[in-house]
Amino acid sequence: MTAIATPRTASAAGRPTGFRRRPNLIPTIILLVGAVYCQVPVLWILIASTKSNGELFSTPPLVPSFDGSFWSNMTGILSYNHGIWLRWALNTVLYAGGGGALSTLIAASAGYALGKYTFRGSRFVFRTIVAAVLLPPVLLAVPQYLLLAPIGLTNTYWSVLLPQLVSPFAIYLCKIYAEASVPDELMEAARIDGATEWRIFHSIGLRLMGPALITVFLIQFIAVWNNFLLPFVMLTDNDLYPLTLGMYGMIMPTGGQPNQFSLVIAGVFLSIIPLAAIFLSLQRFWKIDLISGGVKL
Amino acid sequence: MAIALTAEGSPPASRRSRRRRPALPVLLVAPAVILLLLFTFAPAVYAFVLSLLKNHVSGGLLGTSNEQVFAGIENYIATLTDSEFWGSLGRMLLVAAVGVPTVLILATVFALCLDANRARLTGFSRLAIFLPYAVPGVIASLLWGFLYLPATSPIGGQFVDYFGNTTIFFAVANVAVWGVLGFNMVVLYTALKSIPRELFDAAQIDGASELQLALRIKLPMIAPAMTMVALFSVIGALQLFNEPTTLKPLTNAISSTWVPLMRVYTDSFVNNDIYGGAASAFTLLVMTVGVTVLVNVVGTRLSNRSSR
Amino acid sequence: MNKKLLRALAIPVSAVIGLAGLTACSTAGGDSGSSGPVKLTFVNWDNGMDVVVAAWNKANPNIQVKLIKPSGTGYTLYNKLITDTKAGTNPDVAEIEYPAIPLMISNKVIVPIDKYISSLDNYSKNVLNRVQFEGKTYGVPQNICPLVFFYRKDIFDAAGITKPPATWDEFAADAAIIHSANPKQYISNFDANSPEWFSGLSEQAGGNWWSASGSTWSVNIDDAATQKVASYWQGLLDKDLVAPGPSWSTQWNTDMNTGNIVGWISGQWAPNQLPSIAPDTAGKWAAAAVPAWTAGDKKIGTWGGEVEGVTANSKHPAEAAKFVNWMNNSQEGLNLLIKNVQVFPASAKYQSLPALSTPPPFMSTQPDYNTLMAQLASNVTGFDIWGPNANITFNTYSDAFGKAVTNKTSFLDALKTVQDTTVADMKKSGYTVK
Repeated sequence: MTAIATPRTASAAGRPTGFRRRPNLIPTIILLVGAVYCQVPVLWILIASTKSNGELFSTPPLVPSFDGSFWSNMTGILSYNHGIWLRWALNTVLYAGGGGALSTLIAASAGYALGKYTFRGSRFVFRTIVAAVLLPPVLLAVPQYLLLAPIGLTNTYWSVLLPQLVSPFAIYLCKIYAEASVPDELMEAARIDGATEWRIFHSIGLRLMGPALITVFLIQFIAVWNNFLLPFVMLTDNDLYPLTLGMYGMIMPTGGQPNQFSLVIAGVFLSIIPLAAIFLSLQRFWKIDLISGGVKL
Repeated sequence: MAIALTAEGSPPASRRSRRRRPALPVLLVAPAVILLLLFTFAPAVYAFVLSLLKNHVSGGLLGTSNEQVFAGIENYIATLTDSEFWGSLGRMLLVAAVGVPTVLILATVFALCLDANRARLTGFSRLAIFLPYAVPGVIASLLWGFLYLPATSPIGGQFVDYFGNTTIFFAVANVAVWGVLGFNMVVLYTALKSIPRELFDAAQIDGASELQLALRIKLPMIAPAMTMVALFSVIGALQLFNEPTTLKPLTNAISSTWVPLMRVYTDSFVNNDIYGGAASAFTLLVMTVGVTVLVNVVGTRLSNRSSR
Repeated sequence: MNKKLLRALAIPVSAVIGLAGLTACSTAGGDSGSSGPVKLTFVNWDNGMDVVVAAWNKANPNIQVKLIKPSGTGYTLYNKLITDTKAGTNPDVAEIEYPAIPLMISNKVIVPIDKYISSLDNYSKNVLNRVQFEGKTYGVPQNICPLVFFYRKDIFDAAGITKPPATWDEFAADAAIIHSANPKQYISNFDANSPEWFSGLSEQAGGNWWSASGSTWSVNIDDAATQKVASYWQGLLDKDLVAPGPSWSTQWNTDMNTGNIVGWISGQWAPNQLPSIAPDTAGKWAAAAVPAWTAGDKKIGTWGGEVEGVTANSKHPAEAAKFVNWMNNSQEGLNLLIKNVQVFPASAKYQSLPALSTPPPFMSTQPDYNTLMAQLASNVTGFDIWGPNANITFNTYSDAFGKAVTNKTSFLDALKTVQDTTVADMKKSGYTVK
């Protein structure tokens, strides 16, 4: 069975008491250095978004400007090209949020089925899924385009959603979690009580898998969010772009399009904030032990 | 994965249905299987088929006819004899050589520090280090692009040329490292936390220092998780695309075929050679599978040895 | 947990289905109902084109045009058009620059329009050469974009340079004057990212990268004239007299703003771009003819210029051609183009339209800007023909010269790489190359 992380037992009891008061400086300092490295870029973007295009290149990088450019940058990016930034953001919610949610459901269903049932072909299907884990999604993006282009399915929402609806890795994780967290006895008991398999699935299975599903969703969300190549090859229409593609387009030097760095910076800043907020609020749902625990099988 | 493939195996006898086989599991698995076939395996197969064809123009100056003809392994030969292909592989490996150990070492060090006795501000540091994971690679590259440029750099871009011949590898690797460090740190930290505390007591009674504890006991016990981190990082490196592509407009140092995936893109969409692009893509797929299996085998062997 | 989870997931899921269903239409060539106006789709990236299209739509209720602004321009767009032509999803009309026309023809993206348009005898031979191949016409030429030398008049005056350089020797001398007066200042950059900047300069020197005789091609990208250009710029770079970074990069943008780059060899369309590059420098720039190899030689190359092509996927080529003809070869259309897109007409017939008597806003201190453009346009020269795989040539230029700049290796070697790669690709595709 999977070794799921056991919650940390009362650690204080086992520690030698003599050193309890004095804080351990070295790890603390190392961690703080890491924190600074990770946050300096975010700090910079916050400061840079307070500057106008001209000030950007003429004032010291870490000194913010208080002349109201922050608001003009924010309104500037939100009204740029008839409010396309918001459209891009909505598209991203669709692709990453909607797509992530759908793929989590698909993975949960498949993982549950493979983990809690044997049926003809289940072993073969599982082996195939494990094999598919070896095919990295980004490497498949160009072949996926080549497959969809002759039938005219590119440049649509589906062209970006469909290829990312199935994640072999997510199915694998769900299977492990289903095996570990949905006891056979509970299922048997429900069967004896007359419940249908479908009822067992959604009222017992999904419920018990719940915490893991949030993690799987978050992982899928990030994976879709980070798959730049797929929308890059599939989409031509500006209106269908996710934020990553839109922001990249704004910085690309092209004839005819203005290059407004302060707007790009504002756009980058705005992209980071909601994501950070989502992550912070969903922190307690992250069950990373699912991943590292999956290794100990 | 670093999981023995035998584990998927047979359910205990009590679970084997003695009644009718329910239809539900097949229905639940069906969407996944169909999608897998359509969007994971079919593209790979189609890429292979395309890679055996080529474009042939004939008739007139600008070609009145333009058709697909069988090319055999021509495209593969062209790919494998192209020094630029090996160049792009080499550059990717260089980025990986910088990035993968860095991620592994830093993530391990940070995880150990989080787990260290009496370390302070761990909640804050953990969050601060994890947050970059929430920033998509392209956005992170744009961000670091500004940080590297002399005009806007707060980290000494005026004195150090981050886009130079050799520094470019560190510059690209840095963006990738920055993004995944936190996630890997948390993976390792979670693995650390699941080590039973009793194991440490004996060592501590014997007077072991925190450092010795870390090196002698904690590290070997999280070796499987470290292998997984290494594996994910290597697979990530093979798919390197976002960072160099986003940084490319800012500098001359990144060509359109700087890493293999850029070459696949350039072949297919810039040079309009989907057949050559398919051949490169398929070659890369084969290599990725090979590397994944290799790292898996090596990693499992290493962690088996250390857990004995 | 179960119900909440499902409910939580239900919202994004229905959003997926809803939005995707609502908007899952492709941007394929439009069609008309059994009655009702003909609907055309037109992809174009120029700012201000929407006003032109709106004017047409108002005057032509039976042929309605929908403008699509692509995200990728130039070859990014052309390559998508090529891949999508087999799927049949291309728009009816597409903006295509002159160098890409042979590429589009050989990939069956655009079709000849001779039978739909009246006549093209108001265009010069040089211009018609760009759109006519093997006796067929593939587009109506819209504009001509000679290379122009833009320079900061205020900084030149301060450095004691009273006239813009008339020859390349003078250019090098002026470069030295400017750079030694202020080591941060450069007269120009070397642009390894803009292949048409380089091809335009090669055209001026007399280069002839492609020519054809019957069905046989002749490729000479590294001919003596082009080598001369490459060596000249390598010399300037070696002596640190020009900046090495590409145009439109962040660094270059900064330098243009702060006055560290005081000159730009660009196309006629530059005043369209400059307001977003360096808005605070408006009015400080002057435009002049690009320096010549021998004093008095007026030949000049081009950078850009386009037609609107009718695609093979279009179900209404006659109407599409009619729209294109109106836009690019009628006084009304060109007036709109001049005013809104700041185009310089390709045909001399329209080069003295009243709309051209005012300079582009950015060049307000040079009222005779368009007169200069007319002069330059009458001396435009070019290659015999553009190759069928100019995309490969251009991409190789960026890679090879970019590498040469970074590694400080020979430009002549880079040029040879461009030549060899182009020829190899043409042969691989089946073209006959001498």
